Amino acid sequence: VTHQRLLACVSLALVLSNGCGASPDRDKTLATVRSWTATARLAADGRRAGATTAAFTSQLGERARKALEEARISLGEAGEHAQARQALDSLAQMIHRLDRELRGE
Amino acid sequence: MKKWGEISLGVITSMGGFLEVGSIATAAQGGAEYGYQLAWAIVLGVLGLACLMEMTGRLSAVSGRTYVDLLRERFGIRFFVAPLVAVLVVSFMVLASEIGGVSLALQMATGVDYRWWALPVAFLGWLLLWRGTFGLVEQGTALLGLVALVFAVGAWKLHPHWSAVGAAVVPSRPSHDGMRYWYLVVSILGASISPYLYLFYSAGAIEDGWTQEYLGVNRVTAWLGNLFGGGLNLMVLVVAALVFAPHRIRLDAYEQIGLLLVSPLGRAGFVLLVATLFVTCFGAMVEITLSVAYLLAQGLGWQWSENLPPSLDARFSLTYTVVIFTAALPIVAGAEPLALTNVSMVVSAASLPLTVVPLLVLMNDRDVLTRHGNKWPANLALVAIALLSVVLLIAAVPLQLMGGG
Repeated sequence: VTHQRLLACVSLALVLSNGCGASPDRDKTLATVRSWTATARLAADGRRAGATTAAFTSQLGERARKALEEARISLGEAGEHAQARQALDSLAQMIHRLDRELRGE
Repeated sequence: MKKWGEISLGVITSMGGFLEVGSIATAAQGGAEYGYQLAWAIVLGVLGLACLMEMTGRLSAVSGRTYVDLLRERFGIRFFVAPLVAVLVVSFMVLASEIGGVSLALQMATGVDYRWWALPVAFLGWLLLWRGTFGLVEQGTALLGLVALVFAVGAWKLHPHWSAVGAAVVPSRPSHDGMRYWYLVVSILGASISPYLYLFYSAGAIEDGWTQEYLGVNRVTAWLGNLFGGGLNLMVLVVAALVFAPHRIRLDAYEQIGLLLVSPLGRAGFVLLVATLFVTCFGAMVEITLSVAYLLAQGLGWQWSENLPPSLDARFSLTYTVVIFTAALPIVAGAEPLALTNVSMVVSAASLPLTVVPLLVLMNDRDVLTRHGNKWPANLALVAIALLSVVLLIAAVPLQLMGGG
């Protein structure tokens, strides 16, 4: 009985620690996504104002695209949550805007 | 008049030498993530480096020998192997980061992937070392490094709260994520107090023929140069705090730094930032390469001088040739410049005790320094730096693992 209780306690502790560990990881990923959204926005504004070169803007676009892909993989099913989806969509839209600025639209 | 000219050049050299791939990256990261809060780490780094440079410069001017030369003689070859290996490893990593920095500047300017630039950049650096003199290497790159003043202009245009910047000179508790905060502190200190800086400075004093008459020049150069250089580094942090922090932009790639001066200065800001990154990293690259060659030549008793034709100091010339091209290889292989820079700065901080602690002994050796040895305030400062270096050694690796991501 004592062994079973100990096993139950250890299992509970593992579940709890796992649960507590997942959230900071998700928060960190979402913070990265938001950071790249803001970066892409600054890059698009800079390109529109003629302050940066097309080559540089394109490099940042590639980086942002890579960050989006990595975040989607990292978030997995958690990416379906409203908050995460919104962050991912914002980044995707901003990359789109960056591409439009690069085409001169 | 001649002395004033030398002082001006020396100050500009120290100023230009302060900014490089690591100090720009860590200050920008600190500003982006913690606003002005990490200004104190830059100030601490500047004070520490100025102290070490003044002391190693004084040691060379009075004894007519470099710090490395005296280190080996005083402590013996068995002890000398430890700082030799540590500084070689650290310098190699920092050198690879600088080559990455120059290559990234070229990528930003041309759109051609940074990996393609690493070997041409190494070749250009090698050519300057092979054909140039110490004066050309030291002062040429430093004068061009004045382009870094653009960070001061950018900060001024953004109208920071100078009282808040001033208040941040006093250390404060992290506003969030303590582990990341302390990791950035170690990175900033590692970028500021890099061993190659004071080893190069000591060798430079011999190359420039400093004697006891130059002790005043040494003092002014070490302090003013580093204060100006550190001031510019502080401006990088201020600009990042005003441009990146409000948008919660965290630097995950070095390319993001290209946006730093776009808001305050537009097109000119972008162009001058790319130029600053190129020039400062290129300058640091040739200085580190020379520093490694000096370290080996002085430690092993070879003929050395950047002012000699390569045929007269063949082993010295061969060393910098091998070092600069080998250090380009990690970049060619695709090493991520920002990640490499961050790891290099932390390793650099961890290596400090091996070159700082022995300096305490040498600076109190009256046989070497006669009446120019350290007085108690200088010893107090050096003990504080030595203790700081030991703390950095202990804290660096755990912080890299927990706060480096």
